[in-house]
Parts: sequence; structure tokens; C-alpha cells
Amino acid sequence: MDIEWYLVLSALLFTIGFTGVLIRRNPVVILLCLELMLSAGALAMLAFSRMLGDQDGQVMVLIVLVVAACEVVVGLGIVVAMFRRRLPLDVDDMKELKG
Amino acid sequence: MTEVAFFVGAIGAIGGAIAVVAMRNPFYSVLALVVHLVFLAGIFLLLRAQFIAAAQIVVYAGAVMVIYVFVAAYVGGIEEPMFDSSPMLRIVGPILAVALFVEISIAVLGSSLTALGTDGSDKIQGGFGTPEAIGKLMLEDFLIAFEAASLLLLVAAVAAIILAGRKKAQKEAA
Amino acid sequence: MTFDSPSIDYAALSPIIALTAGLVVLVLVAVFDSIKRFGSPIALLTLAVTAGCLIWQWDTNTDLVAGSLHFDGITVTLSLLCVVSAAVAVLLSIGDPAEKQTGRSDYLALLMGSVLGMVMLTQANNIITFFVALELLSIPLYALCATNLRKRDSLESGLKYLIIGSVGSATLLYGLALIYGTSGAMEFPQIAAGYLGDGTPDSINKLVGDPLTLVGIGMVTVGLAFKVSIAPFHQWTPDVYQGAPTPITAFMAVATKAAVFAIFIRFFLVALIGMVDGWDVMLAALAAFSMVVGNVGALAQTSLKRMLGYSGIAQAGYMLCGVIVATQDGISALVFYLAAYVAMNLAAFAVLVAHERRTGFSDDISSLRGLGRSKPLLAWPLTIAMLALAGLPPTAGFIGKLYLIEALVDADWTWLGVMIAIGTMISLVYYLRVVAAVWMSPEAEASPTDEIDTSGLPPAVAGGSAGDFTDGQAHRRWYLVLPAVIGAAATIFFGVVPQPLVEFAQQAGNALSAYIS
Repeated sequence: MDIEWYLVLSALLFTIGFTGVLIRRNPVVILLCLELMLSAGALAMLAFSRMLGDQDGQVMVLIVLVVAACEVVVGLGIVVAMFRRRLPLDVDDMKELKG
Repeated sequence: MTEVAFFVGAIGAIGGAIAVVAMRNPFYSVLALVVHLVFLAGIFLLLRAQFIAAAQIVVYAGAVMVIYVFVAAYVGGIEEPMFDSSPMLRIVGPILAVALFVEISIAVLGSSLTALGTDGSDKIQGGFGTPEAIGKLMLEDFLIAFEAASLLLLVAAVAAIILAGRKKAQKEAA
Repeated sequence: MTFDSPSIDYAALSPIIALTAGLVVLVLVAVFDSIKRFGSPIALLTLAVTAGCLIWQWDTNTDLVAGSLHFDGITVTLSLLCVVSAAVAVLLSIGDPAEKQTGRSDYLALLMGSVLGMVMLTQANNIITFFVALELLSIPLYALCATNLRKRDSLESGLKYLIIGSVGSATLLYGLALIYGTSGAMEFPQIAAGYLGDGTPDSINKLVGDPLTLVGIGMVTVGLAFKVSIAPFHQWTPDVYQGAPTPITAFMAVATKAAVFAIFIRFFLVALIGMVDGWDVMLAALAAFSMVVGNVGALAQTSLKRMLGYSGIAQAGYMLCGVIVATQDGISALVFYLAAYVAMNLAAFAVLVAHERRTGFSDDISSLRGLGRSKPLLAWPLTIAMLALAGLPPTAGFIGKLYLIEALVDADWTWLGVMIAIGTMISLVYYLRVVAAVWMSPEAEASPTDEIDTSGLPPAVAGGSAGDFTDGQAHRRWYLVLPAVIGAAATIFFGVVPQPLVEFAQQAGNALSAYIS
């Protein structure tokens, strides 16, 4: 399987994730779409790693997994904190800061 | 044979991704992402990244998704109607995304890198993608990044405790 | 199974080690209620030791830990700026409602984590360290923005910053993957070598003009532009600056810029130096756009924090010019301007914190009226900071802009210099408006008194903390007044006697002498 295919697949996943971030309003789902974007980047990294025969890309992907997990943890922490205070969980309603 | 595996994996991954974006119930979106991650791990296997694929299943689909499941169950979340975001975003967003995809695809397909058209480098040794090889790299070349990643985990844990901790802890602190 | 551990230069690694030790100590201290209040002294001690280690390693210029890090003048100067900003943020956080709610040591531990990320980012020499350090910088900041748990704005700003920052990080990651793939290496010098191919002009052109490379560079730029708030990726800045607790806004506004511009310099002028003709036009367009958007956007703001946010966007545009010229003078000018920016901005934010805490009103500009008459110790630093940001002599802001314009003209980028001048003129309007408000006498019924009637406080003044945590004596607290006075004094001092700061900045400029002229 040519490496090109993997790269096009990763581009497709990246854009699907990006669309999700733009369109969806529930913060939990937006965080899921962020995960999609990061996984797409990881796939591209691995494809190039295979192409070059260099394992540095794989180490980078491990680190990316760690980073993604940390972002998720903090993001969900904020969502839970908002839920606790009975704030509406709708990104479009976060208009208080627009001005 | 690899072609079949690739297409199965790709269709599963893309299907899972589209389901994440399209499902109205956030809980189903979480489950769709789990499906996506499993198929993506299959694709990682095709790229000779055995350790990464296993780590992805165990860490990502295993641990991180469980956190998501718990929070989705706790928070619930709105069952929002499908196309209800601001009308401008509804149109501009997908157009922007499609433009980005087309641009990257053109870049990939039009690139002059000959290696892209091959199946990957021929120069890989037997231990490519094994935990031993990756561990060696982490301890030799990327030690500082490895340590920084562990500090990042510590900081994220502290942040989570601050944000989602019980009100009792907050009253003590005030 | 054996491996050769890399040789570790502990002396040069000492700033990172000091910060890590401080971070761990703070996390441990947070567990015990009895010693929780020692958080601030511990944090300040850690930062002082880190600064000491950085100054001790002033002249070092080496690769560390198998080429992952490279310690040189850029590291020392910009890390010192980040450490100083963090120290001021610790001081401003004493008694802050956000800090009280989350437990002092936890909050400060997150701050230390962010500074650690910044110090590592200024030294990053390969793609992996670049990405990890950037995330280590950002993730604690996302959480810190949300720490004022009782206020809706704070939590919203944290979530918004996280989502938009993470989109930036994901884009950056994809761009870095493309650059790794096309150049074949992870370390910045090797990336530059990779783009040289076998040295023949033919192969260079092929690699440099490759569409995949260009897309990679574009995506990396987008990712970094999100972090440092360059238009058109600036949408988050005014909202997040306004909602976050003010000490964190102060820290974000100056320190993230210092650290991210360090990696800008290192990535673009070491790794991508071969294609400078490609990206300098793109960066110039972004810089010009930022100057316009930032300056015009600030004109309409009534909230001081949002105004400082927009002005930060414009200032980021000015600073980007230092990278575009790709000369040592450009880097020196950039570092000088960053140092001046740290001093002026921190002075302004310190006064803002004191004002917010004393009156309970938020950062509305009209609420500043009468400050000049009643609280001169707050009014004068704010005035000096505003004049310095506008770039009027005899402040360091003026000298900084002068150096930037000089570097631009020397490198044939005169039109950008003209844009800086135009931007400065527009900015005079909104900076002087603040100065006018400070020295104007207060309106009869609107002047805030030391006792606040919380029930009547209008929620329309967004960002204000009504009631619980106001401190009537805030204008006398040494930890608020000291940063303001020192920041203002430094601004004036380096405006009149710029030489020490010039030498400081040149330490950074000379660091890359091996790569650029």
C-alpha cells in the first residue's frame, strides 16, 4: 500500500475532526473531535516514519498520545466544573464573553 | 492482502469519525470514537507500528475513553438538533474543511517526493516498531521529552483535581 | 539489552531541574493544610533559583541531552523574561479569589508547570521537544484560566482557550509531521540539512518548493499563530483575557509571547532557514494584518483587559517583524522589545489587579477616573505603561520600536516599518484614552467607594467579582504596588539608558551567528 494512501486518509480524518469542532455545540463532542484531529496527525507521523524507516516518528506518536490524554483530562475537568455550577453546556450560549 | 486490510481499516476509521461528528446523542459519539480508534489501531499495524497500536488500544481506547464515558454519563449533555449551529458556521465550516482536505491531498499527490509512491523504506531492520527499539530511543535520544511528558501528566492530574474537586476541599482552601 | 545513556550537562540543565524541583515541592505542600500558606514563598524561591541558574549559564552555547535541547543566548534571555513574568504573577496572585478557591499551592504548582514548559520551549532543538514543551506550557494555562470557579466567565474562558488552543496544537502537529516527512529529520539543524538535499541547486529547489513542505510550513505557522494571537487566529484573545483571573491574564499576555517567539526564532531561522524566501512574505502578511486588526479592534473597547488583549495582538505583529528580517539585528530588536513589553504590560496589569480588588468593579476604563488624584501610586505606573506601549519617548517602548524599524529598514522591509509607524499612531488614540481617564476627575455618582453594595452591582460589567473578595486596602499591598512601580521604573530607565538592555538583547542575537548574518 503506497504511503500516499495513508496520508490522504489522515488528511480526511483531520478535516472531519475540524468540521466537528466547528459544527458541534456540546463541549464533550467538541473534545472528541479534537481527538480525531490529533489522531490524524499521529497517523501522518507514522506514515512518514514508515516511509523514512526512522523510528523517531513512532516515539513522537507515543508522546502525542500522552499529550492528547492530558488535554482531555483538563477539558473534561472544566466541563464537569461547569456542570456542577449548573451552567449551560452549550458553546453557542457562551456569549457572555463576546463583546 | 494489505490492500484489503487497509480498505477495511480506512472505511472503519472514516465511518467512526463521521459518526462522531454526526451522532446527536453525545454518548453515541463517544462510542463511535472508540470504534474509530480500534480501526485506526489496525491501520497502525499495517504501518509496522505494533507497539503504538497496542498502546493506543490500552491507553487511548481503554483509559481515555472510559473517562469520556463517565463524564458523558454524568454530564448528560444536550441532544442537540443536527443543523442548529449559527447559519454562517454551518456553511462556512464544511467549506473550509473541504478546502483544507483538497489542499492537503493535492500537496500529497503532487509532491515530488518519490518515496511517497513506494511501500515504505526498504532499510528497516527486524526490530522496527517493537517496544525494545522504541524504549531504547526514548532512553537515549529523547530522554528529556520522555521526562517532560511525565511532568505533563503530573500537571494535568493536579489541574483535574483543582477543577473537579469536591466543594469540601474548596471550602477548606478559602 | 544495553543502551548508552546520553551525556547530561547538569549545569546547563539546572534551570529545568530547579523548576521541576519547585513544581514537585509545591504539589507535595498542597497536600498538607498546615503548610499550605508557604506556597507563595516557595514559588518565589524556585523562580529566584531558576533565574540564578540561568544567569550562571549566561555564556553557554551547547547542545544538551543528545541534541534535544540547545542552550544559548536566546534561551537565557527569553527564559529570564518568562521567569520574571511568573514571579510577578505569583505576587499578583496573593489574595486573589481564584487562588483562594483552588488552594494556593495547587494553583502555583500549575504556574510552575507552565513556566517549566516555557523554559524548555526556549531551548527546544527538535520536533518532539518542541511539541511537548508547547503543551506543557499551554495545558496548565487552560486550567489556570478556569480557576476562578465561581465565575462563569472564568470557566468559559478556560474551555474556550482549551478548545481553540488545542485546534492550534493539532494543526501544529500535522504541520510538524509534514516537515518531518519531507526533510527526514527531527532535529532542527538536521532539518535544515535535509532540505539541502545533496547540495545541488536542483535538489534544493525541488525540496524547498515541494507543495508538501509548503503546506507543512503553513500549518506550523497557523498553530504557532494561535498561541501568540496573531490575526486572523486571534479571535480567542479578547474573550479569554477578559474572563481569566487578572494575574493569569498578565502572565499569559507576556510570558507566552516570550516563549513562543523563542521557538519561532529557533524553528524558522535554524530549521527552515533554507526557504526564507518562501515564508517571509507569508509572515509579513500576517504581521501586517495583526497590526491592523489589533490596533483597530482596540479602538472600540471599553474594557481595559480586552483593550490590552487587542493591543497584544498588534504588538505580536510588531514582534513578528523581528523574525521576518532573519538577521541578528532583528532578533536583538525582538528580544529588546519583548523585554520592554514585559515591563510595561506587567506594570499595567499590576495596577489593574489592585484597582479591581479595591473597588470590586471590573476593568471598565471609565471606572479608572479619579485614580490620578486619589491613588497616585497606582496612577503613575499605569500612565507610564500606557505611554510606553504607545511608543512615546523617553520610554523603553519607544526605543524598542525604533530598533525594530531600524532592523526592518536595514533588511529592505521598509513597508513593514511604515506599518509599525502607522499602527503606533492609531494606538495613541486608545492608550491616551486610558491616560485621560486616569487623570480626569471622577463623575459625581459613579465613583466607587470602599464599601460595595453587592446587590446593586450590575452584571453587565463583565469580569467583575462582586462582593466576597474585595480588598479595600489593595492599593497599599506591597505585592501589588511593587511590581507596578518596578515595571514603570524599568520602562523609564531603559528608555533613557538603553545600553544594558541592548547588551542583554544582543546576547540573543549573537546566539544564532552560526546560521544567519
